[in-house]
Amino acid sequence: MPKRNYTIPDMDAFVEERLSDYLDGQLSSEERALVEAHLQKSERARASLESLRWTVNLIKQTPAPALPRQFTLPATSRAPQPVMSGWFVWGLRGIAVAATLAFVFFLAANLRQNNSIDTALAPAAPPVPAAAQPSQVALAPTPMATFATQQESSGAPAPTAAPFMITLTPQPTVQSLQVIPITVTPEPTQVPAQPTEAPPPPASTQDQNTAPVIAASPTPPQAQVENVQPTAKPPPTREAPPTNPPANAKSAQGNAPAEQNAATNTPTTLSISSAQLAPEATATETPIVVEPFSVAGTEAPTSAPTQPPTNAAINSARTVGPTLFDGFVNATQLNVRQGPGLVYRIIGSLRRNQHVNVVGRSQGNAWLAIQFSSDDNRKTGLGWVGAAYVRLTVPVTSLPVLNANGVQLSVSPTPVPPTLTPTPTDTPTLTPTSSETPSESPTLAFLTETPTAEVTFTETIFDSFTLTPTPTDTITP
Amino acid sequence: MNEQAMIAAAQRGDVPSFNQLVRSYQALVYHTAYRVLGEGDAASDATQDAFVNAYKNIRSFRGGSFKAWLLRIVTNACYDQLRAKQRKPTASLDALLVDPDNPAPGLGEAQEEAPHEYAERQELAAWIDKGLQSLPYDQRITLVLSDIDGFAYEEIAIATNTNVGTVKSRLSRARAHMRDFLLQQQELLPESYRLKRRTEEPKSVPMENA
Repeated sequence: MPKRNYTIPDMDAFVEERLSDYLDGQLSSEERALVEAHLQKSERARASLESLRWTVNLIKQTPAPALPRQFTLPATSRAPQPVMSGWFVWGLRGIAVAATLAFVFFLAANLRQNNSIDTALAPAAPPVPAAAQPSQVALAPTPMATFATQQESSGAPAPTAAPFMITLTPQPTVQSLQVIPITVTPEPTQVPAQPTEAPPPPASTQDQNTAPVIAASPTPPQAQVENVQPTAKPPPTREAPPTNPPANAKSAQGNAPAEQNAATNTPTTLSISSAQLAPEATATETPIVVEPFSVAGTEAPTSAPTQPPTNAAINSARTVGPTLFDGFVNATQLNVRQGPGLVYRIIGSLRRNQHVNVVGRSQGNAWLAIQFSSDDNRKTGLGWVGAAYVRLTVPVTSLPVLNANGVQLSVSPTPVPPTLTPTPTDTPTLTPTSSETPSESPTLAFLTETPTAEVTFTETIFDSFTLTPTPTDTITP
Repeated sequence: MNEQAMIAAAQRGDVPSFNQLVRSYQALVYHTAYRVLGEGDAASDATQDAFVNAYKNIRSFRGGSFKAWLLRIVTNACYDQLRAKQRKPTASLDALLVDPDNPAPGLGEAQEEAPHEYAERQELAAWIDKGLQSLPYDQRITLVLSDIDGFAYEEIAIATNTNVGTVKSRLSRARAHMRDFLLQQQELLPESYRLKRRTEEPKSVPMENA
């Protein structure tokens, strides 16, 4: 008896160490016999085996993450290395190290030289470098740029300074170019207002808009300064260098010392010229068209000829609209997806108790379609959320069944007649909208018509969503 | 074209053949890296590095299990990523829990897995990830290769550059650690994944055998 009391803990430890192997069937037959004999006797060992098996099972159930992308190599990959001999590898490394050291020395020498020039010139022209230096550090886009300007500001006189300032201008011009697409994009929406006039202009004016600005950027600054400056702002006095940098400080060129007076104006002129171009191109009626349907208004202007009917169709359909049902988010954070399934992309998220306009449901009732606008679903204006997380004021089955593209599959039998809905007191807003859909024909006209704009969805998984462009009233160029 | 032929072609510098190998192994490699590193971006980098290195060094592969050979490169790539991450720990903990682009279980068709079931699986995965991250690297990679990837001990030994005895002991310790970790979190695990405490009757536990 006492002997047994000693052996059980020992055996527990012995078995415990081997349970993992036992699970995998990796024990020798003698060891397995020992373990199994002990398992018969010891409740503790059985529990241990049990929990270990549970653990392994859980780990095995771990879902695999989705592949973020394909990891195939580009076809231009270099051929696999031959098995290289050691001296060759070390020789290469030696060369690399030597080159690095040389470069570092070169850099160090250069920096030292610059510093000495700076300090030498500082007393000679005190106000300018003092004002310019800090702003250089703050505004210069890259170390290379600061290096260049430093060189110039410290040592070089006026004539050589100008080219260097031009090399810096790309940064401001990019800013001004970024402005242009924003002002121009509503431009295609202007077409539906007068579709009979001229189809070609939308594409070409778009090009013309951007083209002059791109062309303008490299041109010598002086020419533009002459014609734009007066309208833009009071011309900076060229004879008063110290006052100039602060005045132009905002234009990312305030770092320029006094001599670059003309050059510092480049960024402002560029942005001004672009601003002038934009209003010319965008006709005055743009705001009118953008206002009724803002989602379509932001569409990319690439397919200009086919777009006008879309916007017009959507505009007209929007006034009819689908039947909407009230829903409230019943989860802390609820993802909105592009389609009814976890395979679809998340296009947004909702918070608890947020109100949603439910438009329909998926075939399996697991998902609800809601009105949701984002960049990813301009075509349908729909988002999908898990039905379990939305509190509805009507039975789920009373919603129309939609497919992933928002097209109504079956007309819901509407088991809840419109006259019944008023009885729940908390849904007063529902009655006017639901009374509008007694007809058997799908009322979601705007959903079925939307696809005219583009041939495919942005997501490739919607391979069923290939649609032929059916322009109704456009002139194809 | 079988694997041997693809490998031979890749050794002659045929990239398309190698890419066929990539396609058949990338899911395995990425999943391994993902579980070992606990994070998608680093796993992506490790996977890409591993395949680039595998191609570069494919002439040094001289038969045997290609999978084990490849996983050895993956193991090293993961280790490199881990060291890089330790140098600059930028990965957020939230990235572990929220997968922005969620797995596509079946390609193409939208099967309707109810979101809450999916959420439970993801929750479980998050806990397992946490447990894995608390393991020493050697034990973690051994456990991932064995219980997530389903490798044989011999293959794990090749992939981790050790012998089978070491693999066994690492695996045993890793599993015990994971068990303790998961038992501690029992109450937090999704209901369906909890260990059903058996009180008296040993055979009634509804646990599917692996």
